[in-house]
Amino acid sequence: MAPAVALPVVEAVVEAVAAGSASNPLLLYLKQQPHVEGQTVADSIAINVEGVSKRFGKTLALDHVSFQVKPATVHGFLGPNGAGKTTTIKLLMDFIRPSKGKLEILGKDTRANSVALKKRIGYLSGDFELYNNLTGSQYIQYMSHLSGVKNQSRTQELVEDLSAVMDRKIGLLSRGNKQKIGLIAALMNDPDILILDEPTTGLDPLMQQKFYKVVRDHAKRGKTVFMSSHILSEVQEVCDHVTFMKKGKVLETVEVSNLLAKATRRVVLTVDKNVTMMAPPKVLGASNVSHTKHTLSFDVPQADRKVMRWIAMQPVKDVTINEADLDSVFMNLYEDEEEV
Amino acid sequence: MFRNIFTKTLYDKRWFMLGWGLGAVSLLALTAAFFPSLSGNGMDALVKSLPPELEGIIGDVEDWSTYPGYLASAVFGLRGEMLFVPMAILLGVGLGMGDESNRRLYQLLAKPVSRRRVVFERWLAGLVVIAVVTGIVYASLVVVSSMIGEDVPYELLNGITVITALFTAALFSLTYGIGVATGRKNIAILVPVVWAMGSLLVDAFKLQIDWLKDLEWVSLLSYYKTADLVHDDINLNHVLVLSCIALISLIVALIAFQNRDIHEEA
Repeated sequence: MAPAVALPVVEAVVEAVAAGSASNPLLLYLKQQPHVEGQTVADSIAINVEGVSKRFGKTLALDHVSFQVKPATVHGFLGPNGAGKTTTIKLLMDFIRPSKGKLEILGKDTRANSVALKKRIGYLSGDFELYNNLTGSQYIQYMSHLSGVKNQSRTQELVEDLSAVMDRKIGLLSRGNKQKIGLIAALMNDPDILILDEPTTGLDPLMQQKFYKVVRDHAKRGKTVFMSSHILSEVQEVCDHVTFMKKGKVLETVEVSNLLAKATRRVVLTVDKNVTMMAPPKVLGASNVSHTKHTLSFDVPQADRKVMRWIAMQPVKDVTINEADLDSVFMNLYEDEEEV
Repeated sequence: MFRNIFTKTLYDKRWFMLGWGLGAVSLLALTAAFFPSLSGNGMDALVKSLPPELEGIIGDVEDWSTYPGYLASAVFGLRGEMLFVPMAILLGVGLGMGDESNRRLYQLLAKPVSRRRVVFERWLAGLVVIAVVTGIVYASLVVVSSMIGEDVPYELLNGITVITALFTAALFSLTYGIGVATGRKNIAILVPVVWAMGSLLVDAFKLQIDWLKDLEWVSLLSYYKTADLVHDDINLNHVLVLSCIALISLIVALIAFQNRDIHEEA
């Protein structure tokens, strides 16, 4: 009771000290913003990042980053190490503040409405640290109280689904088991927006698959997931849209299905004869042609009839056409940027 | 136990309270228990042999000849500072910087809790820790006084306990406030340590070096004069100064933390 009674008094003193006049910017900032109660998930934009830059001293970590996340989707946030993904997520979570630009979640400014928004946000980072001196149960109990979660049914469901170890001190748990507890804490309030920062870091493949299932199930319930990663297969597995980042800038935001559709196919022909003089005709739109003694490999936009007809006319012993994947898209995208 | 940040912080600090409480008992209560051995002719001879210039370092040894004076000067005047200064700084650094420097603050701030609430509830928990440790010291001195056959000087003990708690709270709040406001552990440690060491030097040598007397108001220890309580009531100006240090540190921390980035390493 004591903290709950004393805090408003202290806040009043802080505001009085910070006030100089009605136009004092600090006072204006300290004034409480309206709650976001009653806001529905059916807003047109779940997350809006507009012209955001962030500078750490002389280093420009983010340079006019803009993108939007639609509600009820799983949106990937992809880029190499140092691209600015974690910085962007920390800005969204109001852990750090932008040098310029606007960040909104569910139509509300992330800084001014930080506390109210976090009632509807779940967050998990791949390199998070929990309180090692607490057991899983104690930690979840603590987080439940802070989140105002009274109904524990969802928490119990998650504990069972993930087979989480709840009765041992967190400091004694493996990385995967700690991550389960972190995931339960992130999902316990059934958040409308789930923000994940490279959440599968250090997890074994089995745990990764469990994790993807939880993310997909959460999205199927009409929730929004925003997930950063540098693992292409992860994005391909769970995401509907993806924003590519590099060196603090957004390269592109696309639908994953469109991206895969546009991705090239790798054709590998194994032939009887020496293929060094063999080459696909220009009309096929082939690129990246390479030879070994008996194989010819090239990329084509699509494995369509023209390509198949030409293959059929060659002395082919074996043919392999690899499915498009984000690896090739990713490499092409980043190589194009290098050239520019 | 884990209903809010305040109770959770107290839970985290339970061993700290026990450890420092027992340490305080070992240092202060046992020192008090030595009084019967020190009083009498041996003490009188010692008092007469010491030069007056040493008063700045070891306190007024005239007081040592009576139990209340001994408590105020020898027990709290010397050893109280040795105990409560490091305790205050360690507590301030731990509560102010602990979670931020080991990346746990993200999980906390990911929940719907305001930054001001985090700062305030932890600060409040720190004050409770200080109250518990000084309470343990108070209780142990009551017991020890009875054991050595001395009347318990309740009025003096009450005054010493209050001023000790206030002094410790002021130094804790300063350390905590700097840590929370800057997010830098090195600054949070450096400033109070320098101030405490500087205060010790001013107190120790002000009788020998005239210009140091003019700087007495800067010394934090000049507001922690337990020896004065033998003859006088608590100095309300000292109470005011120490309280202001604590409150201003808190207010600065609340405002600064609201506006800065969370650091990963302090």
